[in-house]
Amino acid sequence: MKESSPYTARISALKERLNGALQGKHDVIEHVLTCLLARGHILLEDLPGLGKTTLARALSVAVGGRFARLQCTPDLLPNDITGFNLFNQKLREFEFVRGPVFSDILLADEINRATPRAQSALLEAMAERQVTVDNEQHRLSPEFFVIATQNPIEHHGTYPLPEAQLDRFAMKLSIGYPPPDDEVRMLEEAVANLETEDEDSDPVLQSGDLRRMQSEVVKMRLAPPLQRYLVQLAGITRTESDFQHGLSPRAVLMWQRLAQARAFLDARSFVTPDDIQGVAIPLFSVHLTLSHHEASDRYDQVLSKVKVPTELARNTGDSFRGVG
Amino acid sequence: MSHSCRPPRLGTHLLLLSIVSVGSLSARYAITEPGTASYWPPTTIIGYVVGALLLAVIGCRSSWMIKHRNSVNVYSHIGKAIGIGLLLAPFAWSVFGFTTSARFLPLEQAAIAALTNVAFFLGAFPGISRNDSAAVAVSFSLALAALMLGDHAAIAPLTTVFGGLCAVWLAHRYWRDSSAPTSNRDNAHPPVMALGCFVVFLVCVSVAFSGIRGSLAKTWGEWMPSSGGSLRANSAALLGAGDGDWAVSGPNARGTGAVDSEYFLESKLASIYDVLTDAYGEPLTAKDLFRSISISIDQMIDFKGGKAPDFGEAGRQFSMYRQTQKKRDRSQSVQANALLYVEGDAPLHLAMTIYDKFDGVSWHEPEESIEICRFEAREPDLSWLWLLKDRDHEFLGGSRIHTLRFGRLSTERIPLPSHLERLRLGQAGGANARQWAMETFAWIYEGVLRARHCLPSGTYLEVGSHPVDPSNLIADESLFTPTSVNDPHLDIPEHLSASATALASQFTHLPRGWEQIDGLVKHLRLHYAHDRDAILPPTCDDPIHHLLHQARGGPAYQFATAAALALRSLGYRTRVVSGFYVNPRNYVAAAGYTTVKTEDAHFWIEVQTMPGVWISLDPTPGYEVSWYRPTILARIFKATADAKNWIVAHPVASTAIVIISLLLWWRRWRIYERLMTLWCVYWPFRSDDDRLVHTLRLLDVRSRLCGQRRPLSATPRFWYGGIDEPACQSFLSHLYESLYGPVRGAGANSESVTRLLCRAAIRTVSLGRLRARLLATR
Repeated sequence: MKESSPYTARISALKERLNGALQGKHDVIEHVLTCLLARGHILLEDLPGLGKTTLARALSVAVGGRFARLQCTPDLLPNDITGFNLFNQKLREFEFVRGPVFSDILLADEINRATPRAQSALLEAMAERQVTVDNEQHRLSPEFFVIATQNPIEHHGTYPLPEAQLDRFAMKLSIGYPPPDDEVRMLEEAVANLETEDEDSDPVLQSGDLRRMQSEVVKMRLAPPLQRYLVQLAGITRTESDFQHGLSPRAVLMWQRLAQARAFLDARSFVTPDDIQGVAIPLFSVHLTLSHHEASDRYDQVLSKVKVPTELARNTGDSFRGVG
Repeated sequence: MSHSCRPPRLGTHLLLLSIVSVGSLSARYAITEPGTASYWPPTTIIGYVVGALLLAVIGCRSSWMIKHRNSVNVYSHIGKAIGIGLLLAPFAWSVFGFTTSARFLPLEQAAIAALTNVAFFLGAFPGISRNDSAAVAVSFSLALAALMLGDHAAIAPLTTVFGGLCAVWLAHRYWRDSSAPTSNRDNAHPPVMALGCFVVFLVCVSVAFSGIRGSLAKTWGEWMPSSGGSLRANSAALLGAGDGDWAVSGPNARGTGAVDSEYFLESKLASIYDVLTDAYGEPLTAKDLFRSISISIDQMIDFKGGKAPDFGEAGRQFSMYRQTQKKRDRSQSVQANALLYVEGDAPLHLAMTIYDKFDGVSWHEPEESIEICRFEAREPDLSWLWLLKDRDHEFLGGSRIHTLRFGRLSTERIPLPSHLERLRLGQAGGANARQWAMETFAWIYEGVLRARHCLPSGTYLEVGSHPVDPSNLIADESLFTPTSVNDPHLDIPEHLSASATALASQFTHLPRGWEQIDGLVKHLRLHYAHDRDAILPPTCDDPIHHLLHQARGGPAYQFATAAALALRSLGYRTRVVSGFYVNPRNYVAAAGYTTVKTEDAHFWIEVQTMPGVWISLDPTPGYEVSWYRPTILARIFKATADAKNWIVAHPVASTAIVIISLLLWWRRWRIYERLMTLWCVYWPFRSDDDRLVHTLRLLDVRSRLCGQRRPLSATPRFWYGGIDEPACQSFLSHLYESLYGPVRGAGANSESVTRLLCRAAIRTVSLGRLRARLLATR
């Protein structure tokens, strides 16, 4: 079923590089790459020191993009994120000083410590991939990818992300502690190695590769029964009383795109129900405002009520097969 | 084995198949799924037609489908099995699909498929009794379902054609049933050419006038009765709109036309809107003061209460009170003049006189043998008097109660239904009434009861009787065996013997028994007309010949005489009975009873079966005998009793059946798995994709047999991916590609490769291996 594509080798190398940077977290890396290829953004909810920054930095190096880090604090202003116009005394004119959003991969650390005003400054950037400063629009990088983090146990002096902003994220992940064997290997590799060595590594992807792969993802075929399956699953979240609110159409669209990206990562040209199910928990976590464990429970609840389509498309009355 | 099968005329058969085809096609369009090729529904129906014609040929040339008993065709057991199978197959397939998660056939689709099967099956054999009516009725249901369910563009024209074909069929039926029997009846054709010419004429006129007038709708509008007149007479009038002054000033002006049509409602022309047509059945007391005034729109003003303005236009006011002749309320007079009032099922024959001897001119009663009635009271309801009987008869079904209230009937004879079971005098039925009845009632002779005195008007008499179950008569052909020759109930006057024998000879080819008797009676009922006022000419000495060949009809006693003598000539003990016929037409819904009048005096016949019980038959057209019609519950009870009797009679076989059934039930999934394995491996007629999906179904069944049913949420790869066998993994990859992958071109995978792949998966993922893997991975 796997098909060889010009990107197969690069994806394998990308996975290898990230697995080297973050030991024993294959699932997380799979989700991060899925999100990157689906042009979504990730919210990492975990304790400090578990490798969030390492992952983001390794990712930016591997894809050959510009990396920026935004340390969110209560006194962070929107202009600190987007940039501002500065009057150049010498040239007698305003010039735009770009903020950290003008990067390819942005790590917004402890995003819930920023004020809502500063958080909302990220809204336009994440959704539209552009910022507006003094009524002037500035385009961001097409590969702009946000990895935001937040601490799940410290709530003093934090501003929980509003649902409108949560909806801009594609996934919420938790990295967790590494397995003991991987942690030992991590210690072994750290001996006699400087932490900055990663930054000196060559990028895995060439310029424009990421953009091309993202454009290939949208061409992944999705059979109509699977699209109906997606809608039925989303319908369960909207009708069951256990859910505070259901998945929005934007979330369903993102679910489809994530499934396509997962199929692309698996070197297939079409989406399977396994792809849809594989990205459901991190998607539920962010779009239904649930913790990781709650999302897992809800996942079982939702999936148990809809039959996986195993009918031929012509037997279900669908007149065409696939999209794209 | 040869049979004298008389197939129906080719035209009739084709007409019936056309009706069935059009009705089925419309229903097929109604359930067509989106994306289905447009040629597929008609292709399917053509296949059905071919199948029906093949069935007809096979049925006519062999005895598999139809049994030919000379001119009477009935289904053979195989034919019945095929019919029932065709009816149930779509539902079975639906259940199968639901059970096995294969393609599920929705209930409405299954129902329409089942009805289509039945319609074509019935349409294949139009010679069988009532088959064509049943086929048309089923087709009508299909057309109706199409109109209700479907929105395909072809449905409306198809149902229109269906209506036209049904009209032709009705005309044909009317012709067939009403045409007089002649010696060369087989050569009598309905006026097809004349009807065809008339239809062509109508079409030509319509087309011609629509060309002149502009549209077909306007042309047909000219044919519609309208108060506004026709376009030819009044250029502003159409469909009831545009009534001129002359229409309003008429003596009985009223609006006629399609007052609910858009044309009428949107027309700005002055029109009569008949208020009474808008009453929707509400009772309206007509008063002379009501006036409906036709005015033009610019004269309309709003006046609340007060006196209506006088527009001063004489002749523009007319009474809403219809100037029709006041209908005479007949119900009161009919009820007042009734002889009897009967509560209970109608029709019913109430016998008062029995005749067993015929001298060629008139019938004579048997000699009176007055005896006290043999009745007894039984616990727990002592009010009823039960007739003492030797034994019950198998062909008598159920029990029915009728309440007779005596009106103007002044006779000592008590009108009674046949096969009397019990009676009760008075509605309360107290001890005095019972005693009075036991002392008063006496048999004049067998079957006729009389009281010592005339029962006074208003007396209630409740009678319980048994109707005859004809199915048991049909089943037991030994009931009507020949009797001795010197029997008074077999006597035929010498001068009438030839006529009676001639009539009877038409039915000698039928098997002796109920079928022969019924055939003769039906012949008289179908082919001759009842004429109550006809009188036998004084010079006529052969009433049978007069009835059959000269008058071609007559009063009831002539029919009874002809039938009785013909049946006697065939060796059946027959007698003539007179009394009253409780006609359902005289049912008074408000009072809940049926009146019996003088005009309901009637003659019929009774034929004796071997056990000495007389069966009533009515050869007069328009008069029906009330047979036993068991309720659903009674049928279930009877079937249960039959089953119990069979089990008691065949203990070994029934025990074996129970054991085998239990074994089959216990091992049902294993059997199902075996059958499905054979099907998956050997069934050739399917595509590669279907083969892969069917193999998945088989694996699901095996998984279920292992006690681990694949959950709804589990994908095939999640469930079976843990089986680390190359054949299984390869199968899953191909399955996924088939289910979710892009459309493959022809020959993308050779059929043999897929077949080998599926066989390898079926062989590799055996029950034992699956059980071990599932237990290990779950």
